Amino acid sequence: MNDQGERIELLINRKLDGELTLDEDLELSRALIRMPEYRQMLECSECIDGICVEVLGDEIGEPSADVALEVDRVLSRLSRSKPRKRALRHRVMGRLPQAFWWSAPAAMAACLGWMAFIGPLDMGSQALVAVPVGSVPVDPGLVDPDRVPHEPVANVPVFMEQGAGGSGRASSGGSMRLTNGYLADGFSDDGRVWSDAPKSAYRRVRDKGAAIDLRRDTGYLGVLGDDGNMVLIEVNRTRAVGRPRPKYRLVAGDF
Amino acid sequence: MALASNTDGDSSFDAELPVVEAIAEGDRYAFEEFVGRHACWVRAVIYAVLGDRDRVDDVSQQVWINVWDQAKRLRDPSRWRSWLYRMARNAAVDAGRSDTRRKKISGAVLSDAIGDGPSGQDGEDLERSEQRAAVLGAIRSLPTLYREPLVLRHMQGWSYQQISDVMGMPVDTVETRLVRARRLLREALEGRV
Repeated sequence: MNDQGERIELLINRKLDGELTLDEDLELSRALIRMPEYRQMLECSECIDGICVEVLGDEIGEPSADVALEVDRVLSRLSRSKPRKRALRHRVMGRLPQAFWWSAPAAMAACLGWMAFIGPLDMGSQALVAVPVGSVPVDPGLVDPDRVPHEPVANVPVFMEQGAGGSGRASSGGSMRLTNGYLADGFSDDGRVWSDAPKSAYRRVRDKGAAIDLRRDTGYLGVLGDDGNMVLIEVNRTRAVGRPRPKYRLVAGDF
Repeated sequence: MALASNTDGDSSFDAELPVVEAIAEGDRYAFEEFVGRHACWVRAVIYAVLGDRDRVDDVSQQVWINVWDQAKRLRDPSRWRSWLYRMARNAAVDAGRSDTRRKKISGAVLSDAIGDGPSGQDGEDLERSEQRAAVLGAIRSLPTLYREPLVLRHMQGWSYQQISDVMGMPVDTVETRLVRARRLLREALEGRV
C-alpha cells in the first residue's frame, strides 16, 4: 500500500470511529469517488465493525445487574482470606524488626552463658578507684621510669594487667600479652593495635549491623604520691566497642 | 460512557475522585457505586487480554478484590483510571498465564464450532452464524496489542483520547493500533464477510 493508500485507510478508520474532521471528510469523499476500491474497503470495515460490536457484546456480556450482590461476593471472598486482620496484626507486631524474634532468645541464651562462665557484667563502666597501698611492696615493673612526679593523672602512662602474672606496657614496636592469652603487636602509626586473637576471642553481643563487641578490662595506674608511696589506681571498665573491619583489628585502649 | 467523566486531560475536576478516596477509607457504598460504573469496561479489558469469555467473571471479581484491598495504597487518586486499567490488565495476564491449557481447549472448541456450524438453522441464519464465528475467531487471533484498543473502542465507544488516557499511551499510537487491528481483521476475514 502506498502513502496515498495508507492515508485513505487512516481516514476510513477515523470515519468509522467518528474522529473525522470536516476537511478530512471532504478529502475522503473525493478519494472514494476517484478510487472505488477504497469504497469497498470502507464497506467491508463497516460490516466487520458491526459484527464485532454484536459479537463482543455477547462474548463479554453485561456485568451483574445487582451490584450490591457483586460487592457482597467480593467482600465475602475478602473476609474469607482475612487480609485486613492480617494487616492489623502486622501493624501491631510488624513494627518490631523480624530479626527481633530470632535475636531475643539468642540474646537471652548469650546472657545466661555469660553469667554462667564469666560472671555478672559489671556495667559500672569507668569505675576509678584509688587504693592507697601503703607499705605493700610494689612491683618495680609497674613503675614507669620516665614518669615525671606530680604529673596530672591523665598523663600517667597506662600499665596493663597481664594474664599470666607480671605486667607490661604496650609500647610502639613491642608486643604484650593480653589477659585472654593472645598477643597484641603494639601500636601502629595510626594508634591502633594489631592482635592475633581469633574472632571467637571477642564476645559479640550484637550480631548484625554495627558489629559491636563488649570488652571488659581491668588495669592499674601507678601514681607516686607526695609522701613517696605508690598509689595503685584500679581501672575496671566494660565498654561497647564498634569493631572496624578487618575483624581482628583492635583500637588502642580497648583492653 | 460512565467512565468518561474526565478523560480529556482536564484534571481540574474529576467527579470520580471523591468516590475513589472514599473507597480508600473503606466506604462500602462508594465501592458499590464505583463497581457499578466501571464494571463494564473492566470486563472489556479483561476480555481483550484473555480473549476468553469463560474467565471474565472470575478475573473481574479478582480485580475488584484487588481494588478494595489496595485502594488505600493508591498514592495519587487522580490517576485512578490508569491504576484500575493496570489492575485489570495485570489480573487478566496472570489468569492467562495460569490457564494456558484451558485456553487451548477453548480455542479447539471454537474451531470445532466454526468448522461444523450450528445445526437446525436456515441458510441466512447459518451464514450469519458463520460470519459471527469467523469474526470472533479473527478477534481472538489478534495480538493483544491490537485487540485491547479495538475492544475498548467497540465495547465502550471511547474516543482515541479516552483510550489513550486509560492505556497510558499517545493518541497516535492508539490510532495506529486501531488501523492495524482493522487491517488484520479484513485480511483474516477476506471472502467470508
